[in-house]
Amino acid sequence: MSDSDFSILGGPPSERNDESSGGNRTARDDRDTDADPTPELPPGDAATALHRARLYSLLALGLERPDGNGGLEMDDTTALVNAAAALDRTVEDAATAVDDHLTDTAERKKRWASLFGVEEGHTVSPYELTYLPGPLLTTVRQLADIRGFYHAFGIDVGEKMPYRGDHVCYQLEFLAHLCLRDARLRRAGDDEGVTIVVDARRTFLEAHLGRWFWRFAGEISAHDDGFFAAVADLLAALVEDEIAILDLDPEWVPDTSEVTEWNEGIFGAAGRSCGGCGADATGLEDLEGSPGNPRNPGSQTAQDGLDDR
Amino acid sequence: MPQVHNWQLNREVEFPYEESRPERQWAAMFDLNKCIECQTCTLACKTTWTHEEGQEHMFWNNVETKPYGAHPIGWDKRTLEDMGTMEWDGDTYEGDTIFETEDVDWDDPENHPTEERINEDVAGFMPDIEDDWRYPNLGEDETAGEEMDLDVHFDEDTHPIWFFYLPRICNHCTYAGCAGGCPVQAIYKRPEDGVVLIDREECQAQMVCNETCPYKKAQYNPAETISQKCVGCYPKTEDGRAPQCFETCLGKIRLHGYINTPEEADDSDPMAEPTNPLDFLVHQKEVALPLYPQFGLEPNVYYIPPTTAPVDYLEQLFGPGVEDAFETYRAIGDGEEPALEGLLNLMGSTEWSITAFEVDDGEAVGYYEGDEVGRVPITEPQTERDRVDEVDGEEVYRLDIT
Repeated sequence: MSDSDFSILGGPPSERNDESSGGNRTARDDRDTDADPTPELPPGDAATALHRARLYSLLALGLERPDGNGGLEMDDTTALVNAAAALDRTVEDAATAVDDHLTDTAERKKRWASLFGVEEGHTVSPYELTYLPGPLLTTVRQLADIRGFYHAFGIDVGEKMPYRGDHVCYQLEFLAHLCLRDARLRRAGDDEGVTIVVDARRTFLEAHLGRWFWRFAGEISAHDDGFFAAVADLLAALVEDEIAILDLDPEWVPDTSEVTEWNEGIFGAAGRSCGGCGADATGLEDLEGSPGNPRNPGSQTAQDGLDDR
Repeated sequence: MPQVHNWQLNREVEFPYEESRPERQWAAMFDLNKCIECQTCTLACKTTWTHEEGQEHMFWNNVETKPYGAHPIGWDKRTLEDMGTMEWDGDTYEGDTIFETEDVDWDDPENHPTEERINEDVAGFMPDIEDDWRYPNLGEDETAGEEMDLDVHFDEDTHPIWFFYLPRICNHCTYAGCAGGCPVQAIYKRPEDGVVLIDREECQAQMVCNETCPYKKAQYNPAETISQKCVGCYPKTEDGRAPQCFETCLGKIRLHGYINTPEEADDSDPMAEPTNPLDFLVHQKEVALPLYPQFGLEPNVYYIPPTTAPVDYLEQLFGPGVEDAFETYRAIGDGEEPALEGLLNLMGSTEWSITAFEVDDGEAVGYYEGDEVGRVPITEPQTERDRVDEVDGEEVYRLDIT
């Protein structure tokens, strides 16, 4: 017998001495205890939430392909200015600029195609993942996180607009949805509900749109000086207003896309190359067990096996 | 000395801790004859679990080409060399396991793995993070055997030129090497399903598990300063769903379920009643074999060996049961194993774990906890076309008449 009472069979060692935990925990237990009720009602009122919802919704429309179903019309920009006027002077000025730059649908459609459409190749990417650091392999988690937000509030990407979930229009529509819920819950006096939706908006802005909106707006401004540049300015003004009011501190994406395959901090300069198959590796022959090494014991093992037959 | 019974080696083996088995043991079966190394499993796992900074080198699921592929480099060969001669007497392993190689008296308190007295007297090596993990596809598609010449023929069951793909995940070993080596006892097996986990709150980054897991499935995360490993997708399996790498497998080579010891194995006849599929494959039919059983850890991922590779090489990987497994596997083609054929068709037909299956009126039926979760025909319906069609008065010959 060993002198240790430890058995490799059991719950997490860090919880074994906690008799109140009532045995081994499961992933489901962890999920059940994640809730952290915050009793304090977030700042704001129903009317402002409604204006904000309208702004987000119209912004999403403004960034869609202008045609019979998408894009802003004259009535929309009037509503845009009215909603912005109820929030903040900077936002109002930006909304007025959108109204001033509204051109006819055909002209905007052409401009939209040039900026975002596949017709002329993406000049400006409307997708969050484009702006995140690291390779697509590791940033896809953000895609799952975004879809998780949508699912949590019972909505999903529509079939008529089969874009990826991180598209700017979806993110704006989601924020509009949260603001609408905020307004309705405030009118119903549901403080707990208000706390939940505002907390979701806060988290979503900090983890997603609040991180990359400025790069997106900057890219549009670099390629356009008309209607879409004005829409981008309004987007930036609105999100910056949100960041200030909700006291957020989003970790901004890098100034330029920095695609990395391996972390140089960990793997050194060699970490830049792929070399997964060893085909372009140098010095590999010195590594023990390498097939490039004539002294490779593994090759010997296999060949010996054949020779014995 | 602590002795635990290892049924795969048919004897008592040394291990630092007493034998204690979970209520049921998470287990898997991979049919290596079906794997095409598409790496969908690898990516499904990578994007789910190891996409963060510090996990760049981690592939909790990897697929390597045998005999020359290995991730990390030479993981198996280097450990085998350390272990010395490995001989079997029938079904009984007579060589040393990784915990026996150094003749450590694990009952002696002086040798017990503790924070003050880290005991690394276990066969194996510590992978170097900068070099050994750098080439996950090392040796991909490299062939063994004869040179490829114009007159080479593949007439025999064993091919003169060969390689095969070996998908690997954590084996959630009954006597987990990672847990046996951990000096701070931060690694444990869950009593409810035997999944081996590292307690991140307790891990002190001693990295002994990186060395004492011979399959090299515990890896150090320098960003988190803890070691991490495959979690068997327990959040999914708790709900009855197969792990990510199983669900996404294009070749449908994987079966997830739970296995018993030979003494407690389900000996039902699936032609007559629902039967545990892992017990059926491993204990009844003995067609699926553990990977490197001689390490001594009772690994719980089982493989149907590839029939085109040489038996003596495969016996190094899967123990002495390879030829018998081949015989049974080939009998499927002769229609002599309808239940086995049905089960192999059932694999991958459902996203659920399969805890029982049976053959019902020419169909294989899978169950999870009594609920039907899959049903497939044992023999796929086929259409035979005529070799020659008449088209506009011309004869059109089919080269492919399947």
